[in-house]
Amino acid sequence: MIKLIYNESYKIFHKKTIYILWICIFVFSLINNILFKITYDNNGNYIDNKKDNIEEKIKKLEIKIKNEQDMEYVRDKTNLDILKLQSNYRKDSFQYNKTKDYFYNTIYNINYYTEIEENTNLLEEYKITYDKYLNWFNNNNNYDFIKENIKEIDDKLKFDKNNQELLLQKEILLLRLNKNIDYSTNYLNDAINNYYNSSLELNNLTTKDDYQEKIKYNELIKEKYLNKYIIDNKLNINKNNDLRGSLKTILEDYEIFIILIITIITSTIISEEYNKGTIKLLLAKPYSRNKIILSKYITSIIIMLISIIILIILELWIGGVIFGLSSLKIPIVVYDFNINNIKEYNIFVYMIIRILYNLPKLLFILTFCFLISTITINSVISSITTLTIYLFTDTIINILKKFSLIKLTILPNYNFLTYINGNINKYLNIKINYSITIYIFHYLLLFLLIFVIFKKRDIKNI
Amino acid sequence: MKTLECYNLEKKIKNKTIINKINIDIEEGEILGFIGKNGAGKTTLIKMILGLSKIDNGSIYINSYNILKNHDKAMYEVGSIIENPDTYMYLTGYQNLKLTANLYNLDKSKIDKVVSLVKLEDSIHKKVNTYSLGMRQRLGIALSLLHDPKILIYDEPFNGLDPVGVRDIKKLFMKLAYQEHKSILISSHILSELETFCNKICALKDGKIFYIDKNNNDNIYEFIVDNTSKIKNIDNITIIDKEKFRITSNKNQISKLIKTISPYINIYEVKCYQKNLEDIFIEKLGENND
Repeated sequence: MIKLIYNESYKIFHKKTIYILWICIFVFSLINNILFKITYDNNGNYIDNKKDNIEEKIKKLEIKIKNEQDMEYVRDKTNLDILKLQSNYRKDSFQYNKTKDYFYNTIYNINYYTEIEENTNLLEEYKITYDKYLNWFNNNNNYDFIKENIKEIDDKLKFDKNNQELLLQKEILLLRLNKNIDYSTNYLNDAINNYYNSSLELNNLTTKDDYQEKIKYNELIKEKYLNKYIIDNKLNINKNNDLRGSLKTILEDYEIFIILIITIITSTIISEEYNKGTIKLLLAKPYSRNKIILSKYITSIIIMLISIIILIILELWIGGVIFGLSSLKIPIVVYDFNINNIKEYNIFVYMIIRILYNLPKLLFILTFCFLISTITINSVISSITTLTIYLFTDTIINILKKFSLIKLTILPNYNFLTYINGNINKYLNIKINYSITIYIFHYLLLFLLIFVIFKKRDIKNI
Repeated sequence: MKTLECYNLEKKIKNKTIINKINIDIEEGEILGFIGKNGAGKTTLIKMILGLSKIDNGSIYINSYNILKNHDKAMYEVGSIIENPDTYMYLTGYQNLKLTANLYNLDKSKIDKVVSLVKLEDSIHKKVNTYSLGMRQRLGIALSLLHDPKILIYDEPFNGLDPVGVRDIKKLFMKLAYQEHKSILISSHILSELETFCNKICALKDGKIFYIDKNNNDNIYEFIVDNTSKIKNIDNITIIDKEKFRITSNKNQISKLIKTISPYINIYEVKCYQKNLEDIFIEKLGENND
């Protein structure tokens, strides 16, 4: 058997096919990493030259309002005033981020009663309000702002002790205080917003007995805990534009390449022998048909595994050169549904775990392609049917969801990645043990069919 | 000892009986020629022997091993080429040989030996897709000889070889059979080549095998004597002129005839015009009833 596998591998490595496919992976990875590097800054934010360039916005509005009148003018003048006011403050201050919230209404009305309507009394009132806010703005910092808001909420809580929303808002303000989080647009503020929203929605979820509700619940609890982790540890675990980000979901990002490798190698390892006639050479040897077909099957699996390893090595090399290796020490943080809490992993350990959860799917696709190839001896048919199954799994499941028999088929049961970290199946309400049973049944069926069909085949005139 | 024995082989393809209770056997050191019309089933029979086609009925023993029950042991002593030499075109000749040698646990020296046997030393390290048909044929023969098998089965091995090549390969086959006592089964259309070096020839017609014995066939003999008018009471004679006559007969009858006429006639020359295989082929296989 080893000798047969050696021969099969020898043949594959002496053709250009596998090398071309690996070079495609290399080129794609190179382009991907370079693009990531130049379009995202070091904080993981998309470099958008248009956003947040306040001076340009001011200039544009100044030109615009010259030709405007009435309500249009009022609206744009208000926006202009807000921007001008905003530009006085630092980007990480509460003033910069809350200018619009506090001043829009006041400034709008000032402009309205200056340009459109005459009403000296109201105008004076609004001007006083403006000065009050401005004064408060200029004499307070983030710390004061937070304290002030906490006080306000405490006052409200006196009348409504158990208001979840208020309690949540207070919790967040305390977090800002304790962790010294400013108001700039960064991952921490994103995390705070996400934490707030997910916690709020969680409180509103009534039951989690229903399957759909359970899916939502799992999503929300994940968001809540992960974002809390980000805030508590001030660690941007969601950053994708570094080596750690690429490695975390490497097999899923490059999955199409692995599938292509599986499909092409598996189809041709059989059909080529028949088309070129060398199958006669192979079978008229002191090796049983079972051994010969098994050696081809095992070789396909070996090539798939080697390709995955090459993929990881290429990504480590390219990502390491472009982004450096420093991100690798940041752990991967996930919400583990088995322990209902956060769990930390080393990046390499987590990457391997993810790959292992994904392997059953790849193995099934390989076996399916191998079977169709054995039946039809036509690499086109086997490639197309395999790729179709792979690309349209989700679509097919969605269409046939209403038929309860769909859960007996392999489609919702071969993607074990949906169960990672103790999560539930994202297609149907089935458990991991059920999926394992269905998977083993279908796999054994395909596996045995391969041998049965190959054994019975007469070698036609080639 | 018989290297190949086939008993009551039967095969039907789409309700037509291609192979109808066939028995063949080959001894050590024997070269068996195998002829038949196009589509008679020669290649099918060979494929059945090699395990490439299913056997509906009957059994095949190679070296006393049943090919179904003891497939590995049976196939170990077989070398073959079917229809076209099967080689991997994107590898060199040497790499093709290496792959086969690996499956039989053979070392480099065997490869070199077999390369010099078929005289491919110059191009053995070039890719097979640069080979001519004759070179590929020789490579195929090399592949079949690599593991020193006891029985060789060749389906049209002279395809594409020039006359020198044909002669060399024939010499090689004869050496393998007579010196190394290998059995060789050759199927071919090139009858003139088969007849010069096969011990036995069998033909496949209507799913049945029958053997052609060259030696017992009738041939045309031409006598040169002193006076043909002296010939009396001999059947089937054709008098050509005063000194020449012809008679169609076989070896045994001719010796009787010579003994009969020599008392009263002087025999100067007896020439035998052997019917060649082609005539026999057409004569026997062209018949509609058998």
